Amino acid sequence: MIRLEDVYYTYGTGYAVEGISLEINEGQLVAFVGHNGSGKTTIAKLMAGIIKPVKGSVFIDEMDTKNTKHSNIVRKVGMVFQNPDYQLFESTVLEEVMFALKNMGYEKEKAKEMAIKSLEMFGLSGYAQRPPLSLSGGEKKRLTFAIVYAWDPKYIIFDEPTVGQDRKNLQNLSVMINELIKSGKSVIITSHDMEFLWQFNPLTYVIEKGKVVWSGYMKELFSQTDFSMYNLTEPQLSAISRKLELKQPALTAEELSEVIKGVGSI
Amino acid sequence: MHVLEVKNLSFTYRGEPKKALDNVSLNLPYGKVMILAGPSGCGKTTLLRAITGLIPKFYEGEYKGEVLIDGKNVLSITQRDLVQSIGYVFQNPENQLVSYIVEREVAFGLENMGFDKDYIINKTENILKELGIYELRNRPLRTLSDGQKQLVAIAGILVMEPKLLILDEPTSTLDPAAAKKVASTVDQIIRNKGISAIIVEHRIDIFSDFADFMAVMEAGKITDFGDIKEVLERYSGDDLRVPAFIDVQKKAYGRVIARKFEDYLSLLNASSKRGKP
Amino acid sequence: MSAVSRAFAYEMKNSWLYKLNPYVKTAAGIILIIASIVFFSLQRVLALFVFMIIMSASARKLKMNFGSISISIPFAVIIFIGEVLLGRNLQTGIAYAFRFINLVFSSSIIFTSVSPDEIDYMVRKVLRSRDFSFLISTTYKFVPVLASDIAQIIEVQKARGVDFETKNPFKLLKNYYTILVPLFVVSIVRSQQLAEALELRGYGASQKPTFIYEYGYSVLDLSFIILILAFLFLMAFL
Repeated sequence: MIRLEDVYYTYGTGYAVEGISLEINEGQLVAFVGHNGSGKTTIAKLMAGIIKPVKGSVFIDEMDTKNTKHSNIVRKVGMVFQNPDYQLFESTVLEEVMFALKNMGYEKEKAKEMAIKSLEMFGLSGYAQRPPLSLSGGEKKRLTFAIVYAWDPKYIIFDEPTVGQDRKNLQNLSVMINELIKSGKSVIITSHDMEFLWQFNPLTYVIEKGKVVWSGYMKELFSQTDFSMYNLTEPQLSAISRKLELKQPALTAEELSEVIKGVGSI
Repeated sequence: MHVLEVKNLSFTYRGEPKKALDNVSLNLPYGKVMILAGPSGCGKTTLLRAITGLIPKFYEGEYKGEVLIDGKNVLSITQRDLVQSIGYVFQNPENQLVSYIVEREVAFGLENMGFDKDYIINKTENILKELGIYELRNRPLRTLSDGQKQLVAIAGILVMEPKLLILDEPTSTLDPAAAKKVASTVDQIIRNKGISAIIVEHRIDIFSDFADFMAVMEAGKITDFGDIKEVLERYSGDDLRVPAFIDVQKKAYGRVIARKFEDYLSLLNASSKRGKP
Repeated sequence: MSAVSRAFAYEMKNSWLYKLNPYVKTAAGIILIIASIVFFSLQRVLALFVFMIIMSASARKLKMNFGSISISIPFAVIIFIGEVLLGRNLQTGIAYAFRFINLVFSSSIIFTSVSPDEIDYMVRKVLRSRDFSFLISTTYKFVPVLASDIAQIIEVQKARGVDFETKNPFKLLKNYYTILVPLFVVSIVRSQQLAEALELRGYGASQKPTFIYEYGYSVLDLSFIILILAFLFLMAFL
């Protein structure tokens, strides 16, 4: 479990995160949503142990991030950042994936084995000996997934994973998220992309000015009539479902079109 | 005559085996807005670079074909004429904002052209008012939100009164609320001024309500071009983030009935659960 | 912004200091810096310190400039101890310590009151080079952007298990290498895009680019010049 207990964080002026308490259990898919600057990325970084709270505590499987060796936290929590260019520096793709594994204390041969397996998972085996910087944008993004996946963390955080991504990359991401959940991992996504998140109906925390202003499942969030006060854009499928007065909103275009065609029902 | 004519354009970056652009042709009429869409790496940015003359000026390679802006070949017009014909807003505002305060940033292009001081101040004030960001004019750029920075970047381009505005993923770093604000503000201004626009976007839904045309690219080629509704109706691939409501219409009715999301919603009612609206 | 960076970053305030002609502000700042270096006696050093405190406070900048005083204090203490250990008397030790504080304080006053636009204006006029003035103002603009890049890269690498808190200097040096390559890449991409943006915004299109602001002289400038001269005259008698 990841547990935040009355957590505060500041970058110097005012609190970026203010008095947040929540729990994330194993195998859960959780989304932190809100506009840019709301504090969701700060929460993600606190959970990954990259930054420490100024007040309160963050516990990863009962380890307080303030008192735990950083490598022990990283072993449990992997974080995929938005911009791949901020991390790639090794001379080959394989070494890039091995880098974190070696930091965690894995022997070179074992690290290589784990890295190769991860590259296969993301269709990057053929790029193993290429310089990471020679990859296309989409390939670099897949590489960042492979880097984190390699050390098999229990909790994986994706920070704004849909920015600049085409549909194919998003489909791959959806498949990956579903497989991670099925395998018992916890997946945490910070995003303002409601259209992408809608398909999962995740447990959702709406963050505004560093505080949790709403929590529950996404279906419930958009079935309330006052979600606009959180400055969120309703997913189109939710809006269409509401207009059709469906008992339960449809999560995919396929589902909704079947209802409209009169073949299915929700 | 069209504001943009691309004729059989091909380009291969130096040292690369494959063509980045392969015999691309398209025309954009004056005053119209086009979405340019396609998967990552399909050549959209290369096409924009060629349209603006950055290729071959900044990028060496094998260049064939022709690009005409307002009837003039982009390779032979002066920088001055080019700047007053095309405006380009980059994806990341941080990489194009060069000044300390907003007013100076917006005035930058006109200062470069050597226009009279009073003329520049007048034009700058007007565009800031039109975009609804006049109150930000004395603010340092670093204090602005991402959405505000993008509007300032757009102001700095629109103040030059280009005939063609190019927006390269202008909302990719913005949340949906800021993105919609930028999109609707830009749409209003360019319609009022009769400016044409090319918008590269993965999130087609942000601009699909405003666009007239759509061009789809794949592997350096234009695979479809035309009225946006018709192109979205014909599209059967899975590279584009087709707006969900378009997807639903295609799957439910076999065609696109309403191009705008609000229009589609207004057609629906509870009895639409079965059959057509 | 941290207190330290606030002490050296320009921030507009509504006070008399900001209304001065940029040449007058810059010249006054340079005079204060030179005075910080050449004044040796305790009376002159303290007089200069008090003068700058009054100037900064009346211009509503004391909170901003205070960061410069606070960062210079540890070094000033080291200088004081060093001077005393070298056999100088306490008075001289204090004077030397305050010289350092004055140097940092005067630098803070000049950096926080002359805007990037004013620097651009002066460099263009004095050096007759738009390119050089643009270079300076762009550097100024992108320093915080670069700092933000570095901070983000550090966070990303930390998430891969890189330990930036290790006490081993060799390991720390090796770990900082993981920042360099991404920083170069990001900076090169940014520079390329900036160059393209400049081209498309007509940089270099005119031999005589305009500068939209005008900076004249007023009674305030004359009064301030007289004040500075009077202060220097007074120092001659201390």
